[in-house]
Amino acid sequence: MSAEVSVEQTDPRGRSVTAILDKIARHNSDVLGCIATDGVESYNNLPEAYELVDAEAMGEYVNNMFAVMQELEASEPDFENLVLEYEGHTIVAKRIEGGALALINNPINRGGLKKMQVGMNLFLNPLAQAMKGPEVAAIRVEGPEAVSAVRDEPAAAPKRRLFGRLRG
Amino acid sequence: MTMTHASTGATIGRFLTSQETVELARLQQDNSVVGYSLLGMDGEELQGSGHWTDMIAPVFANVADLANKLGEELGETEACARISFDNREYQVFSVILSACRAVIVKRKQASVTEGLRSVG
Repeated sequence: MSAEVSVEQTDPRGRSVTAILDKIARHNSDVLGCIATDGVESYNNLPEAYELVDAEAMGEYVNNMFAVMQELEASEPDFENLVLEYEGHTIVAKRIEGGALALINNPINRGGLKKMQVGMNLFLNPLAQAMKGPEVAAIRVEGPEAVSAVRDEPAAAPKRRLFGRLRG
Repeated sequence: MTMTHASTGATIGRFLTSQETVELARLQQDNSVVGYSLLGMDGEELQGSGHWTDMIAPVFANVADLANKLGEELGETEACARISFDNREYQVFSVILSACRAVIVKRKQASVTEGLRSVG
């Protein structure tokens, strides 16, 4: 079977990943730029002043931080929010399916932080949809094979409980 | 909660100012604080408040390394001063003190009231 599959990642409304990142950056004036990764691909809309920055590595660092924290929480709900405060920047990150979204900001205070975290939520679904774009298209084109590949995935190993032990 | 110390009170004093010691003692009085761990700048555990801290030390040592690398990419010259993770139930945050890093695990208020509701 042959069919054309678009390589541009878009959500069902046709918005590309970078267009959504631009919307996030426009939503809050403290945001300098965004990095999104699904663990394989990396996207960013960092401004020219950050052109020497390795955005892909940064996305990977954030993703790895969430992954390392999995060691702790075990069967507790995933840690979904991360805030990193530096002298000149504040990074606000959220876990998304298989990856992470990180907003690079000017230093922000507590109130601004909450506002930003709530604002980020508005864009998580469209972003996740856009990042899944080609995968969804591939399943639609290849049908049964793609579905079977998903079904045959091994079950996740049972997790240990950590904090739960402290409740007794 | 049973206190297990990786370091004695006498030696830990080398890593904390008197003000930091007072703040740490205050933290331990907070019912929502599940526990804390003090890490050296190389990630070794100096002191912990529970048996689980032997896990938090290596995990947060890695997290801090990654945070510092991230900062370097942005041109930051100092280590990441504050790191905070949270989920529905817990907040885990880390602050750089004068000579070590404190990692504190806190149960969220909503989670506490949820527990009460389930037995009420």
